[in-house]
Amino acid sequence: MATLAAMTEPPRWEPTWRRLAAGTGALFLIILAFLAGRVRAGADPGLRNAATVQRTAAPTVVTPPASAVPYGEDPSFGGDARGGAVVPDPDPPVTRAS
Amino acid sequence: MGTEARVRLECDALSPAELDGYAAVVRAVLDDVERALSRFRPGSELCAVNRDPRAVVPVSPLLGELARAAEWARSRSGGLVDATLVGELEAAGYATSRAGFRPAPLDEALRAAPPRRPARCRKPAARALRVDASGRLHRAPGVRLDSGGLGKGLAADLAASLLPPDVRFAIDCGGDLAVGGPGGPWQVAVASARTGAEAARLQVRAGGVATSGIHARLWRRADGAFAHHVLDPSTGRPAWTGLVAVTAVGASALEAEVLAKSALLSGPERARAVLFRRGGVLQHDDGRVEVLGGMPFVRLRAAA
Repeated sequence: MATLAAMTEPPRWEPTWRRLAAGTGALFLIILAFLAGRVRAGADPGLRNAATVQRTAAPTVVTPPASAVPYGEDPSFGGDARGGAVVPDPDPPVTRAS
Repeated sequence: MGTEARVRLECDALSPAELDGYAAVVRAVLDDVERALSRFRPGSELCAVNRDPRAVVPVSPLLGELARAAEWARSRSGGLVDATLVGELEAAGYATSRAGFRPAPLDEALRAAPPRRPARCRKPAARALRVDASGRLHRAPGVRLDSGGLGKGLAADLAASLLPPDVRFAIDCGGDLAVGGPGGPWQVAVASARTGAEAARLQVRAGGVATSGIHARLWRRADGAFAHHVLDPSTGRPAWTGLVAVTAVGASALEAEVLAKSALLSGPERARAVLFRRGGVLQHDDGRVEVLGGMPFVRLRAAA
């Protein structure tokens, strides 16, 4: 009897459309949260090569190429600094701790 | 505030004399801020308010702005940027202006410094400031206010707000910059904490750029220990976080100043998150200079 009962019980887990959709949604949220965490940590995978530049201490001029992401540009002010070559300002304003 | 200012104005439509007139306006604003908000002038309004024992004090619009800025900075930085650490600054040896003093050697101070750790905030709202509609400052008894970097950022922003829209400007108030106006982006040089030479160059169309660092006001105390003016709010002592200077870009000079100090106090790892939106420059203890790009933005094409 016990064997018969076991054979007639439905399987404990079977794929359904609802479970598939829930699993897909959960996986999407996990990946989204991971990527959001990376972006917040300043390590946006999409900007790995263009936006973050690590340099040694050599005090040399670093003028980002015009095609790079403009550093700190405020998008609310319109215009576009990406086109054309950047002419170095021989006497730029200087920020320093004081 | 124990610092110097530099103003650059450009406009094809105005004569040099007219631009000189605007430069004089900027200078007048900066002088007003210096007279009212300096912690090192015994006759300043800030010193008078700090001496006043009352919890509610009427203040001028300028000092009211500083108090609002200080409260905003505390909130914006999660309590890291605390403009009420006056007693702690004095205890660390920063009771008078250090303008003109040669700073102590940075590398020697870094070798002698305690293990690096991020700074932490202290109990929130313990020193909250509020300015009511009547222009009165509310504070807990005994709370004093330091203008510091906030005063410089505020001064640069105030001066910039008085310029007409067709004037291209860069207002440098002790290293805190307000830039804007028509034309292409400004190139802003970032001074090296070690050599003073240019370590990096940023492009900023409009807004503010500021640098916070431990090297410019670094001294040796009577007990031989090194101290500087960037304090960990949780301990009230100088913060040694692994960064010697941070440059930040903000929507205004004030915001840039708050971001720079907040990132400096946060240490290298969290600093990247602090500067995530607009970018900046980290100068590490070991000499590395790390340039962080701001968040890119997408321009949507208008429908044809």
